[in-house]
Amino acid sequence: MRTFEWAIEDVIAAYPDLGVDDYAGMAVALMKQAGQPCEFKVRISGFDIGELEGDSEFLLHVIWDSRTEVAADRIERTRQRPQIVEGGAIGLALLLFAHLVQNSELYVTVVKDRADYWLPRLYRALEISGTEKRRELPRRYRVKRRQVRENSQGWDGYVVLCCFAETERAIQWSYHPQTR
Amino acid sequence: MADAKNGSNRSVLDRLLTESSRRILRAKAASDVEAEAEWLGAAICENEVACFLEAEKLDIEAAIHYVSAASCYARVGLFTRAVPLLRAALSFSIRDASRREARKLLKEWLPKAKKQVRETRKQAATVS
Repeated sequence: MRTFEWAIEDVIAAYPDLGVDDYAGMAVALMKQAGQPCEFKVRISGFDIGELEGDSEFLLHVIWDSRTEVAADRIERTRQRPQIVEGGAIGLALLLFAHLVQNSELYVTVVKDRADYWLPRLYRALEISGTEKRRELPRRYRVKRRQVRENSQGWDGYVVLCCFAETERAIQWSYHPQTR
Repeated sequence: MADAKNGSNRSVLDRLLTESSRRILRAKAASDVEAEAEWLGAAICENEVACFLEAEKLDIEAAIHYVSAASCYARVGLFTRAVPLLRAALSFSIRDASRREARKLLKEWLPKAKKQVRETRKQAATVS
């Protein structure tokens, strides 16, 4: 299985105008107990990634620097856990797109409490979710799949679902075309 | 001339979208103490984006940002500002799912806006 090792700080360089530093910190807050590199098993469905040469799984190893770890400590003291889990998922999703998908500039809108992410150069929507409970994954997947299919632009879309459970750190990354 | 104007508008739009996205992301990541100011900043930005898109006749995109601006105002309890923005979004030909969602938010926020107006009036009457 292919392994990619990337620094979480890469998201800051990839999206310099979006100010995503805190999201890198939130991801580290969730990963630091595991030590680095923190390993995630990533499963993709509905699309291919050239670097994987036909495989639908790879290992993601995430590393980080001491400054981000200090930021993570501050974030843990000042943010609620659900906010950190969602933020950590955003950090990891951006890391995947930054490295594996070209033209992945994005912008963000909100509907009530939900954020919608848009990849305008690709005409794709993106839904992101994070959880620390493995058993929540199927329900979260169903909800996010429905949301991405019902996106306001009628675009095809991706769902990135991150699990930060101690016993299973995993990412489900799926692609959902509009039914035509 | 048209191409230059389109290019210039595109550049302005890109800057506006980036700025409003940055503000939303900052608001989402903010601590409880900082969040209110961040959401207000995001609301103002999203409203500007929506108006610009409407002027460019990009109606579906404008509707998305009107709902987003409304949601940002709702996050800080300013329902009297959120409701007209939802109505603006609903004035466009948007997807059924988006229309249902906006109508659901309107149903939830309109009574809160009404309550806010009453409370403001009551406070004003007490002061005078």
